[in-house]
Amino acid sequence: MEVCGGQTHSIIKSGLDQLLPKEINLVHGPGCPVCVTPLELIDKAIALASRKDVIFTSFGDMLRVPGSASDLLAVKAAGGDVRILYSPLDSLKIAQENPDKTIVFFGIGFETTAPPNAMAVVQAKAQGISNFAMLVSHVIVPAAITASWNLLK
Amino acid sequence: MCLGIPGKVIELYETNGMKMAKIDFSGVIKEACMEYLPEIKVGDYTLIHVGFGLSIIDEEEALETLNLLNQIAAMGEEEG
Repeated sequence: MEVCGGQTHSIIKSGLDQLLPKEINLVHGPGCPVCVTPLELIDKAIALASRKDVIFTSFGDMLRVPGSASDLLAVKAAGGDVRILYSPLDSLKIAQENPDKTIVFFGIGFETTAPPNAMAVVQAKAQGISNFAMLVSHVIVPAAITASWNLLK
Repeated sequence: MCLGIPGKVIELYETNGMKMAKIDFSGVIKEACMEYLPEIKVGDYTLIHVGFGLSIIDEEEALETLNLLNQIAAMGEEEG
């Protein structure tokens, strides 16, 4: 099974699945946190990012994920303050520099991203940053893979 | 975002009570948080994901991964 939607795309585009010996059955997995983020959460993100009193921070790949009617990139293009982060901790610097705004961070990811996202929350409390919020959508790999596997049966 | 990129720790320091490091990614220097790797030392290689060190990896594995990433990048350029 490959997990990432980008890998699925590359495998099919290059015909790799047809080159594999017939003993190997390739199953397409759930996709990464970007792909498996629920539609309603993308819509929530878009609604929050569109507010004038919000600076919306996110990992770059979330900006192109379609919501019901729009995406974060469109909000940014229309003048919304949507900023791409390298690290969740960058949200805190932005919060300190913009005390009159609420900084909302789109906290998505599998197990690898949860500890870094959590550190932003721990640090916000430790540094007394009160204008930081997080829109959370963490997923665990085993649950996502089991769900994909069960769909095959 | 998905990628964990190997980098070498060239400096360790503290910011806001957190262990931080300057990481050398084959010439590009970026800051990363080492709070989850309290035992890391200058000269160690680490896998960086969203600005955080997630694990200490040995130099041979790090250099092999970087070499593969460079090869992929070079193939992309060839295709144009």
